Amino acid sequence: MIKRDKISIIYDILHAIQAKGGKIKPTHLLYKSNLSYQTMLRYLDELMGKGMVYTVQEKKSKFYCIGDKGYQFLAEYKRIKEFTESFGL
Amino acid sequence: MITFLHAPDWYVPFAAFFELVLFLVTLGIAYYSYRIWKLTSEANYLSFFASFFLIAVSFLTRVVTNIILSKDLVTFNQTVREVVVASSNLGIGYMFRSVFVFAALMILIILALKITDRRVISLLGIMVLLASFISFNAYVAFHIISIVLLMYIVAYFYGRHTARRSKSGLVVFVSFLLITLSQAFYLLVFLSKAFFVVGHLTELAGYLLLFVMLILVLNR
Repeated sequence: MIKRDKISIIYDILHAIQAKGGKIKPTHLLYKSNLSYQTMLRYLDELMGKGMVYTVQEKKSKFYCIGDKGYQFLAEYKRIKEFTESFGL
Repeated sequence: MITFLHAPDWYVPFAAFFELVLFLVTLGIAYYSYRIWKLTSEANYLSFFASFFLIAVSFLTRVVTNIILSKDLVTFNQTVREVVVASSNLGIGYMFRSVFVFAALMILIILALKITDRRVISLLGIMVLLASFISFNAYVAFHIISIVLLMYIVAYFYGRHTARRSKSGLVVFVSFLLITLSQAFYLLVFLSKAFFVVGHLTELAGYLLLFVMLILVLNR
């Protein structure tokens, strides 16, 4: 199995949220992102810091939502990946 | 100037134009890296932006210095011109250019070799700067040090290309190979000024290839 790079993991997380209409439960995201719970939290922390993801509380459930920067990242993903791979960044 | 006075007279206007093109090309690569950094906040992209921005500034320095010195030299006779060539090798324009290019190449090496130890980075920087500024001939030292630094970058991109076999990886490898070769051609300028033209065109081809790759990436 090929190890995913950081950019791909970020894409997978954001794509999973987008596929659920821009809002996803943590347990669902854990399943979709194929990461350990701790690793997922670390990535989400980072993505929230970058403004790509934010959380909302609805009733008793917490949801992760995709932000504007997250949508921008998804739109640019292929280019970013190609650029990153070409220059070995 | 420093570089133009090694060039044949007929090539000077072309060189000036090409250096402007090189400035814009490297600035374009820097800009895209900056855009990705703004989006991802990943330090690698910021470093890559800094590297290409410094290369762009070095080309701008070349353009400006060349213009200033070319104007001055119009009124000089050949003997004075030769004296100016020698003294300009130690000139401020050359010094700035060296600092910008070496800093840029060092950032690329730090990224390629994934050097994180600040002591190693500072040692590398000090050695490069010392070798450049203490050397007797700044022109020769600049190009030899550039070749050494670029060879590490070329080796890295060759390794990546053989491991992944991607088209864009091949383009980047060939680009840096051409840029390295251009530095070697610049060193042969003492044999014939024609080598300056060959070096300049090879350098231009190297950076244009990088730019073409960027355009291909943007069109995906």
